[in-house]
Amino acid sequence: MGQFPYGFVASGYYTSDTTAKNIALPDRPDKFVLYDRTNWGAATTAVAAMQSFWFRGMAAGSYLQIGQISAAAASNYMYGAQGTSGGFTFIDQTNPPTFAKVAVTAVNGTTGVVSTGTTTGLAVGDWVRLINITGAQELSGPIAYQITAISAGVSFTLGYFATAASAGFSVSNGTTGYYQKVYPGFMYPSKQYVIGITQATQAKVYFPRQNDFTVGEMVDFQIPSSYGMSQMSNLTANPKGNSNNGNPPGPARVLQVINSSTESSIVLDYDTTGFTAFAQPTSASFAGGASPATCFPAGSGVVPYGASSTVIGSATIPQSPPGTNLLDAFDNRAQYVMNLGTSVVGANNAVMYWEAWRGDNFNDVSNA
Amino acid sequence: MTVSIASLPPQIQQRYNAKLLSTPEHNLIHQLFATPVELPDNQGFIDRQSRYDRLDLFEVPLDDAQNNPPPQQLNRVDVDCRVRVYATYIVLTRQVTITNEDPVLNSAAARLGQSLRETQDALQRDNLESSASIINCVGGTNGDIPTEMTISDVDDVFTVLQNNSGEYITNIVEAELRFGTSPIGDAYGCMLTTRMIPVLYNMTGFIKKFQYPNISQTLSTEIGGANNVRFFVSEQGSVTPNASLLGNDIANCFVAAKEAYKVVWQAGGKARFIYLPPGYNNDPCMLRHTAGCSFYQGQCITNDLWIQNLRSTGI
Repeated sequence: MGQFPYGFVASGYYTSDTTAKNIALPDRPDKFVLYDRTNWGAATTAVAAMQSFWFRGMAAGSYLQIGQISAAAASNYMYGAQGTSGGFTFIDQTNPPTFAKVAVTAVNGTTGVVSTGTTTGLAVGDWVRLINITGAQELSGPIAYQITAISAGVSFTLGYFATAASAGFSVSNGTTGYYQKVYPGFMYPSKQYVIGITQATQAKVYFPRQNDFTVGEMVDFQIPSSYGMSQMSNLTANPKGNSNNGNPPGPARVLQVINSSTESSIVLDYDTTGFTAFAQPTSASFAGGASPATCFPAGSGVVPYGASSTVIGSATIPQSPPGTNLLDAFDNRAQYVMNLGTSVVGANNAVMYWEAWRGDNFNDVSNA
Repeated sequence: MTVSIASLPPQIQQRYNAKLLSTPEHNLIHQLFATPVELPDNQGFIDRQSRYDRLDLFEVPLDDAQNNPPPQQLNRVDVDCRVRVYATYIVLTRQVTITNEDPVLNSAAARLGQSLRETQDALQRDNLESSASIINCVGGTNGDIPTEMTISDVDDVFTVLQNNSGEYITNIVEAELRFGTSPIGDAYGCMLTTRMIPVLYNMTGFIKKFQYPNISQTLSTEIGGANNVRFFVSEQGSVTPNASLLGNDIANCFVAAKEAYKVVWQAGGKARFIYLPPGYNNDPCMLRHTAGCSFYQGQCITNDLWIQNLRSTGI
């Protein structure tokens, strides 16, 4: 303290694939700098994001930048630039930024394509809520859907929803309404909104965004009767045996977790073949008064053995002796995060070095 | 010529009143019904507690052959909770402490204490918000989903907790011969934002705390009760912005039965105030004090059946 104008917070590097990236930080920075270590001074390579800067107080998504043009183009190799989108966004996950709602013109209840005139500020992996979607109110409300594709200025796709829809859990098409970008909570494990449950000897449960459940974890459900499969509600209270389709007592054990680029689901050690089919309520039914279907953590169980993380069970935690799951412990996973947008994240395959600094005596009041 | 303060001003024009003004402090409600657990030192950072599931009833008598019936399976659920470390501090130059009339370090300690307790409370709030199951209020008439809270919604969540064998938090407050009072039933505890006060006061059947027959067993954070739920409010109660069907703010009202959730403290890491005088922390000229605080805490839901997030709009 008191030695330098800035204290060093953290540094690191990554290889850019040109998609937006989150950098976890141990403290709030006042200054963040990115360098392209690969292309610096390579005179034949034109790169816009050769060096990018963010200072505390800059608007979300903005950036200052030094770019490089190729030697063949001009004699001035470096130039200064700035932008207002696709740059840096600092996120304190315990107090995330809020965003304005944006008009929607259509929501496809099967493909998950949301038509809108404005996709500014959205990136693949972001979360949005849908608000007051006429004709598909069951999609409206608290559910955070994850974006899997964007057509700039035209639409974005809720791919996790679409995967559930293709498994038989589609809804009617919606028309007008709004979307709003949000950040989900940071406590682990968090409840998930359920958008589909199969009728199977090992039921599969679909979610609208990537889930953080783990293999061996015990989960419980609140499935209102308007969604059909209400037998899955309050499993923790269930005794064993024939009164519950022959399932084990208590909550359901997670056998497999799927978090691909388009599917978020878990497979349960739970037989739902005799249960009422799961179906999203109609728009009118939901708007008439319903609670959402939810899946939430209920404890830790023995980890089933599997050949790899993509098949039933865990390849790393053995069943004999019975593996115990410590990954599912309730935890606070909040972080400070610097989101690097596509304007600053770097050229493809470039090794990007980053530094975060904190002002020892940051003062945004002038002496004048 | 008149002598006024324009020509003869007081030499000292300002007096420092040493009586400090109050600082707003939030109500701490989210740990009220948490089971406190102490994690001993040197035994890791995850606290595991276990629960054995209920067994089936066995109402069918044995037949005359007197054969043994099939055994039942005993099942256990473990609940893990990770403890994390939290800390913050203030740096004060020595010039501040030797030039201010006020004992600044004393105020720093008080504010750190407040910040620490409110942080502990907020962590539990965020845990409940993240993990508890949801029941939407649907009995209201504001046209949104969820609606504003009504007495039927209170009864619904009460029924869910009763169906799930949740034990009451408080016992009945019996009727007494006092005008304008009403008894309060055995009750679960509800933790919610102060923004819900108008909704509660408009609710048919809501009994304000001053209408209790006896307020000797109440807390200052309690605002009233309705049938079998008593309500405790805080400025930092949980609100999810724009999350209703129509995009309005939602109040997350956590209704808890006994042993529904817990808070875990590390035995050697309980709330602590740390003062370091000038000369520490690379301060060779002894120019800076630091005042800090730290605590270790974990929080988790121990039985998902016994805590419900009753969500309401109208705030």
